[in-house]
Amino acid sequence: MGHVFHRLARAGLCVNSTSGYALFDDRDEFFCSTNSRVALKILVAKYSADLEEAAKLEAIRDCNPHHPGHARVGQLLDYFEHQGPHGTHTCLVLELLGPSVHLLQHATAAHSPFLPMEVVKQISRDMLIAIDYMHTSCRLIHTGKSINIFQ
Amino acid sequence: MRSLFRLTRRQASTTGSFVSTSGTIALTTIRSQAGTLQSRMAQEPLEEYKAGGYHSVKIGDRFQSRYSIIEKLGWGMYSTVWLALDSA
Repeated sequence: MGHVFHRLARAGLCVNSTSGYALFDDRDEFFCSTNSRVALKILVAKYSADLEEAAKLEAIRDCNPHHPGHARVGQLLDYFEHQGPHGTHTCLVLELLGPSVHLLQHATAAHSPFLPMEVVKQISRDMLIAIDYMHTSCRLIHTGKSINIFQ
Repeated sequence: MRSLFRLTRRQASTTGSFVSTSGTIALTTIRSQAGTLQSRMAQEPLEEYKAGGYHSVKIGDRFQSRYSIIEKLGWGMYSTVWLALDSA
């Protein structure tokens, strides 16, 4: 089975990147062995001057790395500006995340319409710890549609 | 979500009940599911590839001499998101 369930990946955060993605292919060994896959989020030029997102992500990265929620939040690894024909784009390099709940549910729907209880409990626990970190350490609240976290 | 990832991997490798016991079927199913999910959502509006809008990215493009684009992961109204390999 170790050879079957190679890789499930999702990248992005909040409303700007809601597409899930799953990949299981021969290149996986290559990707896994390097451990250097990242999500590169390229902002449209007209909103690239507003560095609020990068600033918030930096706060989330730096405000308390010892909180157990720190590792449960997709973290900013790097950011830079890129000059292109359409203007200057802020590029955020983010940790590559696992599958969304939505995709996971679809992927396993043939076996059961429900995710295993152990998985549901783990997701709930992780989310609450992450939210506690965001609220108590970073003093940030999520004001978007909460459904996004499941997509 | 990383904890979830670990959990599902562990379940898959120990019990085999979480995904199909046939590797080929699991692979095909999940890939087609991903395809269905993706096709259900329209892609980013191509007309926004203009001044002030999205940056045109090609597979294989390199950023900062370090991040190589492998494929597209998603998009929103304010950004596109790409799987990249960090060579540093």
